[in-house]
Amino acid sequence: MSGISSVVKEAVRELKRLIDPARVLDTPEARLLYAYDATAGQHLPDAVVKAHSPAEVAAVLKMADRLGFPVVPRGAGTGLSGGSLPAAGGVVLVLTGMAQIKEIDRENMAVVCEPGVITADLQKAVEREGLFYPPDPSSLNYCTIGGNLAENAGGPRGLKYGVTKDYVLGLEVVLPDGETVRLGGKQVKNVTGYNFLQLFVGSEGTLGVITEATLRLLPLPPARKTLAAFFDRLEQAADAVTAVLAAGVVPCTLELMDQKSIYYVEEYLRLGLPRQAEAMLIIEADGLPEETEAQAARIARVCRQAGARDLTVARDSAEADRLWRARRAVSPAISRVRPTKIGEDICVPRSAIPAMVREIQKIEERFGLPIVIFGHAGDGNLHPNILTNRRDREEMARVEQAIRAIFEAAVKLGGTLSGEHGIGLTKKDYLGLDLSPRAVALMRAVKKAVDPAGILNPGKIFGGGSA
Amino acid sequence: MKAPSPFSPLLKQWEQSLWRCNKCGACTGACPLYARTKDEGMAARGKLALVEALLEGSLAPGPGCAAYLAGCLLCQACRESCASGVPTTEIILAARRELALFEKLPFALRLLLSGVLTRPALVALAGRALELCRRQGICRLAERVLPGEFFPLLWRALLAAPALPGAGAGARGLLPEAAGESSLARPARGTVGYFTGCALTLFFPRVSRATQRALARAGWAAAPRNFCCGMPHYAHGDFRTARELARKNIDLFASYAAVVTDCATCGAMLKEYAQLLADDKEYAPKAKAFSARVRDVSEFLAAEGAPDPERFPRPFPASGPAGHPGFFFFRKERIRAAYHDPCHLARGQGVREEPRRLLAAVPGLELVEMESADTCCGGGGTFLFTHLQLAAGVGEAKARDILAAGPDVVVTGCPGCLLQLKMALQRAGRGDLPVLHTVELLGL
Repeated sequence: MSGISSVVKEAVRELKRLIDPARVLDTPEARLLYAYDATAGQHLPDAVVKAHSPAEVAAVLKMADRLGFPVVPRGAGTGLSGGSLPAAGGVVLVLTGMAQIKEIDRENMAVVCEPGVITADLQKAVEREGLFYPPDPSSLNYCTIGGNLAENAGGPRGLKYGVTKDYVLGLEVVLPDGETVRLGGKQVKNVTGYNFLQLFVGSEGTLGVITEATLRLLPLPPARKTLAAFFDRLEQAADAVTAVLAAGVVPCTLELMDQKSIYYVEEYLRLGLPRQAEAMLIIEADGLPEETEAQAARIARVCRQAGARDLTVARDSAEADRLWRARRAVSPAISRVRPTKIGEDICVPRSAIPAMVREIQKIEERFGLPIVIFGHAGDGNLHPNILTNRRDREEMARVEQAIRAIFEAAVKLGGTLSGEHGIGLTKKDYLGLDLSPRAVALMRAVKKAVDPAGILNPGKIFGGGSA
Repeated sequence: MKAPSPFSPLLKQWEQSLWRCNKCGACTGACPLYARTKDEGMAARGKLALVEALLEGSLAPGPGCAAYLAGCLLCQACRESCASGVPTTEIILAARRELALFEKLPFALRLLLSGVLTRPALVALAGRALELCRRQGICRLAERVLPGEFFPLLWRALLAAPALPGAGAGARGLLPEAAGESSLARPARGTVGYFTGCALTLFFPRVSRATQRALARAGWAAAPRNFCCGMPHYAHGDFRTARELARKNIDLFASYAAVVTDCATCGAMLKEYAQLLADDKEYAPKAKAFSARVRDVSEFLAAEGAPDPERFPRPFPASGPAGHPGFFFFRKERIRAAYHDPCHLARGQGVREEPRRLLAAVPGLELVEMESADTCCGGGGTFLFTHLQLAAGVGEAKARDILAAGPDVVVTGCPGCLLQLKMALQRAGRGDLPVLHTVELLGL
């Protein structure tokens, strides 16, 4: 028995006196059930604690600080970089039980909520009040706000509306020593002291446990207009994206599907998509009804000028839904091609998208692995998905090499390793490709200052040793 | 280090499918039990992780694992939400079979499943006894004698007369109890095999009668008969009995070109026979042909044409006297009916539009859609008996959605749902809201 697991055994005994014993679990089954996330990696925790209040979170962290065992905060476990995996064992601290929407403040256009609220539930609740919470990660129907904050999640609407970080007004955070700090509030402007609010956004559960968030809301745009355009050549699609923005229109989404995405979706659904097209763009404008009409007309004109071979403007929401069906079907369609799909998350400057796609196509040939590319063309965030079989060791070694090559290409084009998934476990070995040693040292110093004992989500972001 | 898997090829055959689960979590967003408990072990990906660990030998089968596997409504919402198309329900069933969960059921339930349900004569007898109880008010006595919250609720749900709002005191039942076939159109188009589910026979004989009336109005005679469809046994891992019952039913209905049922769960199971007996040398082809002939009653009526008012004139005047069963639909401007999709009809058989189409054609009836109409009500067959609190919790959410739609009557197509919805509404303080089977609004 390792040192940590005997320490956790003692902690479990003590925690059962402080917290409802039904929520302090160390059965083999419970440990298995909280050992995974959407990366399909598996690391067994020594125990699982389901917190129902900030006080319980603080109690767990104080005990961890005293006895010295790792604590890994976890929302719905839908992360794509291993951020909630207990890589070093210890206690998984589950926050899905803290799921209250405490207040929807219409006057200040803000919502106060606990970390376990499902993102889509929050959106529906504020939309009933005519308000709008834009960040829309594709897992929004089952991921939590706490997880979105910890990973700084994005989504298709990033181009016009930004990502999670752009909606954080205030946080309540329990620090690794069990003490609580409140940062920010409902005010929109705040330059009192360091901008530590943003330090915790995207910190991947390594600096503190968010127990309450105050989020900024917008008025809900009443109208939406959706278009789909096909291009024979990828470069034409890229030109169209640039031209749309140059024409003074900022669509709320600008989604790109490459030829393979189109092909697999067509194989799966038979929607009648042109398989020979190199790119499909799904573009959506939102705002006031007359405004969206005008925007859609301008987008359509610009796409035609850029050489779109095929263009559909949805007349109603049912038609819009049909257009989105193709984009939504990409994941199911490619999941059926091979046993495992590994989704990467690079982000490059918008102008570098065609070059990046060409680079990925070369990597695909070099390593003999099918790679499907789709993503958010408006903000340069691409998701190359490698179709493979994680039980084939030889092939997985090639996958590793291909991933490294993709990262190298992205960085060379002025991009970064991750746009919206985080570094976590899966990308920590590549951190040095993107960040200078001094930048990494600075981040480590911050980690050390906030969590000197290193109990909170150890082994994440920074690779072993010098990375 | 790890011992070779002690599991049978029957579970092992799902290993490749298990590997397709990439733990994305979409199933957690679809699972009614996860929504209630926020427990990974309640959602499909958790159960799949446990089964995978069992197969790998890294988890020993024990009561903990069995409890997690028993905690599933089999509503198939996870299966529908899964981008990778993992057959979650099949894997959970195979694991239940492997762990012999049937043996771990409470004794009374096991007795009911293997002692009573396998014998049609006993089911019929019990049905008649229960009917007598209902008529004589013995159930009301039992309601007072039995302890706890659950049983009184259950009795009240079973006893609930489906009276519509505005019904006079005399009009306890919406339907004419003894409407003779003669008062209806004479069946002219042939005879269908009518698979009368055990639950309807036992608890809702009024629905069985309504089905036969609705079929008669569409011109079909019904030949009622059945062995238990085998779903209760199948669901708890007793595949052997399920297969035996399947073979008996196939023989029983051999001479009918169409097999019609008004029980969503039975229908789903009968359509599953082709799969269930796929490796049975003698019965595989018969099972395939049988499953292809099975129709839910709403599916059958929608395809065969709804009752034609010209050919089969209403047996009562539209402005009938108060107290007449048809009266309610014309007394109020319109009756608002909210339809709840039974899991075994919507996902089990892909039947969603047909009941709605039939209901929308009923004069004076306005179909209203509730939020999440196809989310499981929490009944889950025997789940409502084995997991009282959890079933009640899921039912609470369903009752909220129903009441938000503001209906005058709730309509569904499954005895399990009828029971659970009634209980959920009673708990929500709306025990007065009628819960009816689709056919009860068609046979008028």
